[in-house]
Amino acid sequence: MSRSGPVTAGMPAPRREKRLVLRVLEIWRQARIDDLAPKAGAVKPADAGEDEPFVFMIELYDGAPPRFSYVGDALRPSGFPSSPDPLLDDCPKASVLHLVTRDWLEIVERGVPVTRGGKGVNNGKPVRYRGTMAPLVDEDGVICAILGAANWRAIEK
Amino acid sequence: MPASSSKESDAPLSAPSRTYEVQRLTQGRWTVDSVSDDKEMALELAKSLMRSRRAPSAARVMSVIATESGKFSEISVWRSGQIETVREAPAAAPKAAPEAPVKTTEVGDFKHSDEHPATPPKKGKMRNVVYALQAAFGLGISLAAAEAVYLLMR
Repeated sequence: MSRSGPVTAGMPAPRREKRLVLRVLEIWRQARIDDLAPKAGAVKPADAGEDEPFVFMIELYDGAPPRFSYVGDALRPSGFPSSPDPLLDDCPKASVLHLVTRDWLEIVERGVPVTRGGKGVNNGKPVRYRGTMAPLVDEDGVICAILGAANWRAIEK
Repeated sequence: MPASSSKESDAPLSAPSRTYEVQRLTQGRWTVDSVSDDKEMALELAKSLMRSRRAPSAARVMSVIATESGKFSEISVWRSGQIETVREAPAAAPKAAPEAPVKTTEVGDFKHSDEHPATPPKKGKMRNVVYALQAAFGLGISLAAAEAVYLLMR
C-alpha cells in the first residue's frame, strides 16, 4: 500500500507530517473501507516507510493472551524476548513499548484509534513518550489485531 | 479470532478522567473517529482527518469528562475548523460558591414551575385585514380596467 499518490513533475512535494502518530494513523485511514477499520492484512509495518522501526503490531486470539507479531527495532527495549511473537506480558515494564501497549484492551472496547502519552522510563532513562494504537479487523469485521506506533524523547528527571 | 475480554494484570490503576474524542459526521450522525488524552493532539487528529482523502463533511473534538458518579459530560472544543469559545472547567474543581439559578428555555426540568409564559401579542388579525383590503382594492381596479377596455372596444 502506498502512502500517497504519485508525484508528477511540476507538483510541489507533499509536506511530510511532523508527528509520527499522525503519519501512522494516516496509513490506517487510507487502508479503511468505508468507515470500517482496515483488514488485518491491508496494513503492514513496511507501509510506514522510514517509521517502520517505531511501529509494532499485536495479534489478538480468542482465549489467549495478546502477542506481538511485529516490533520495530527502535522500540525493542533491552531484555525484550528474542522468541518469535512474544507475549505482551513478556515486554519489560520499564519501556515505552510497555507503556503504550498496556492499554490494548481499550482498542478492543472502543474500536477506534486511541492516542496516549505521558512521562515514563525507557531503558532506564526518563522520557516523555507518545503512542497510538488502531484496530484491524478480520473477515467478519471483528478486531483481531492492532497497529501501533510510538516515539519518545529524553527528559530531565 | 477476536480477543478475549480478559484484562491485563498490569493495567493502569486509574484511567484519565478527561479524554478528547475526535468525531466525524457520517450520514448525518456523529461517530467517534479516534480518542486522545491530549487536547492538542486531538485537535491535530481532527485537522488531519479533515485534510485526509476521505475527509468527512464535518468533524469536531469533544472533551469528555468522567465524573465520580460514573456519568459523562461532553463539551465541544472544536468543530469543522472553527474553534468554539467554550472554556472548559476543571473536571473535579470544587465550586467556591453556589451558582445563581439560570433561566433556560428548557421545559422538561421545570414542569412544576409556577411561572407561566407571557401570552404572545396577537399580530395576525390586523395583518389579515390589511391583506383583505389589498386584495379587494386590487380586484376593484382590475374590474374597472376590464370594464374600460370593454367600453372602448364597443
